[in-house]
Amino acid sequence: MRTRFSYLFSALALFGLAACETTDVDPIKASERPEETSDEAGLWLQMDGAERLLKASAIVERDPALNDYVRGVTCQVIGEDYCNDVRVYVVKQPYFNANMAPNGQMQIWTGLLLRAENEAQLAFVIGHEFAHYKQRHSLQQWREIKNAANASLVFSAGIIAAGVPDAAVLGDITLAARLYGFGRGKEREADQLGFQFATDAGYDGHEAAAIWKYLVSEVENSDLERNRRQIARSSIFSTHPVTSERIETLTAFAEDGEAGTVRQREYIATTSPFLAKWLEADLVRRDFGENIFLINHLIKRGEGLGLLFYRRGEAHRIRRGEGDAIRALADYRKASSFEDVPATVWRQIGDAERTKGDGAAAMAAYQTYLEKAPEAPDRQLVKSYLNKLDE
Amino acid sequence: MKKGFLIQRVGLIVSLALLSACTSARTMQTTNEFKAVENKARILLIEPDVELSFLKAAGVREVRADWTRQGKENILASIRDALAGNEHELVNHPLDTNNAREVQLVKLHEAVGATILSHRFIGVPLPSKEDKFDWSLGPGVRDMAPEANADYALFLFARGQYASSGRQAMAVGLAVVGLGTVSTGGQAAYASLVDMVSGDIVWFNLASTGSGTDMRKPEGAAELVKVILKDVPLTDAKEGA
Repeated sequence: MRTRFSYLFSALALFGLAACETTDVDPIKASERPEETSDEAGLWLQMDGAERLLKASAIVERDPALNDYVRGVTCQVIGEDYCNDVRVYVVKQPYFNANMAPNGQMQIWTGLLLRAENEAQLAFVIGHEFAHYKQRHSLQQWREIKNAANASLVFSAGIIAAGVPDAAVLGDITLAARLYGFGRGKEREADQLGFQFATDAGYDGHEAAAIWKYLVSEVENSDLERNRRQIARSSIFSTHPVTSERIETLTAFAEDGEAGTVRQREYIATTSPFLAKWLEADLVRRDFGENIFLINHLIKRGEGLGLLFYRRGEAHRIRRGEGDAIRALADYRKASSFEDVPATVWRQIGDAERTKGDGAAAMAAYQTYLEKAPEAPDRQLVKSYLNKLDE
Repeated sequence: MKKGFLIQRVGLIVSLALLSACTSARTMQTTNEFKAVENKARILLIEPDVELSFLKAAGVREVRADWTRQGKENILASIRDALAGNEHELVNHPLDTNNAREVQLVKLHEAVGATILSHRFIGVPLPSKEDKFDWSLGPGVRDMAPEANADYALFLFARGQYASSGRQAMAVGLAVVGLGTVSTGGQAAYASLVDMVSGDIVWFNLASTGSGTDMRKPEGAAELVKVILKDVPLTDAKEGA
């Protein structure tokens, strides 16, 4: 009796649930808003709520000059018509990331701004994210989730009914793989369209692959084996095209196109006031290999060397590996020969020399610190060190 | 997107509440010093935090913008009707989404409400709150429409899920083959009356209804509001339930 019901039910489920919603949607037009009765309007409503919280959050970088600049590049890439539909938030997160919500909320993370080398590279990221919006990828994705969940339900209900309950978990695996597979297809499309948007706006196509090439070289120097392995790994669960494939495709696009602008000077001028903060925040990731690789990469630009050698000294000091104390002191010494070095370098030189046992050098450094930073919050502490060293 | 622990907890509590099939209500009143609401009080009706969704066959929940707007309108109208017999002045306060303070206060109400639920209605009681009900949003609530000069504010948080016919078939089907029960939706809401001077929650109530009543319809919303406003210290004593 039960068996008959089971077959009856799985047949019912297969007929009743397999109806699929179309994922073939038209690109969104400028100032277009979804119909209130649609599933798309529901997605927008949820993202509007999330955006209200983001807007009020301390995680957003509000510096007007930086925001105006990023907004300017965005409008340049996506065109004036769409410019009012997209809101860009610079989000204080040390990871290389950017994302796009269906309602026009775009996030650019500071870890990405720290690693982009010029305005063209930022433009390609913005173009890529905007392509997700214009192609309504979130809506497509949502419909795929619904279709896949229903298909998965048919699958697991069928298996349960056939008397193999354990196999029901297989339904979840196919669900995940289908979703992420679709994700990869959309990323490819976003790469292609993003490339087009940015080159149409006059940016040099070669920079699209360049940002990925840099990222691969940085990750190859990661402290974490898991990160290093991830570059090459291709699995059904990875959402983005394998990086090597992506670099090849973007390089091929650039070979067919004309040369364009890179605007490195403007990019460096706008982002350099944040370098100290962003490099410090990057250490939150506790990946010294990547942090030091990034600093060395920035040192090649030949600018802001006082800050950069100081930050490399900080990375060595905090890592505390073998020989790091000596490396840190050498970096601090080197940094101190440049005009733009932060005054705290003298405090760090003092500490390092004191630990080494060179009292005279430590005293000299501490005194320089107190001269250069007379209002430093730790001046009383430094004075007490000086008194002790004087005894 | 990452969601906080609290949001998950709210989700869990609301789902727990949705599981209970019948309409229920228990009210809480502050044990802090509190002067009863007199007539002709000015009450701010804060735009209710409502989210109504479509429960699909596989259990995927799809938020519906039109239902949400309709539910919000119906709830506000029902609150006005329910309090119409008194001489209070009711002031609608649509949320100013560009005002970060207002957005945060509505979130704060959601968080405090969820905490009350998890220690008073469901879950583990807090030993420190055994003989008292002294929850508060703090005097910062005055930042909510200071120009309105209101005596009290009414906050309401509501979630509703309505099953598709496929979902209902699924539920029946699974029950038939003996694979247990799945949710076919329902509604849950909680509301607070907040003293606009101290920020204290002077009254709090939870209501949940099964798939029978429906706040997408005016009479469904009226039913939910009637249940949730039970014992609210805004109605005349003779009218009190």
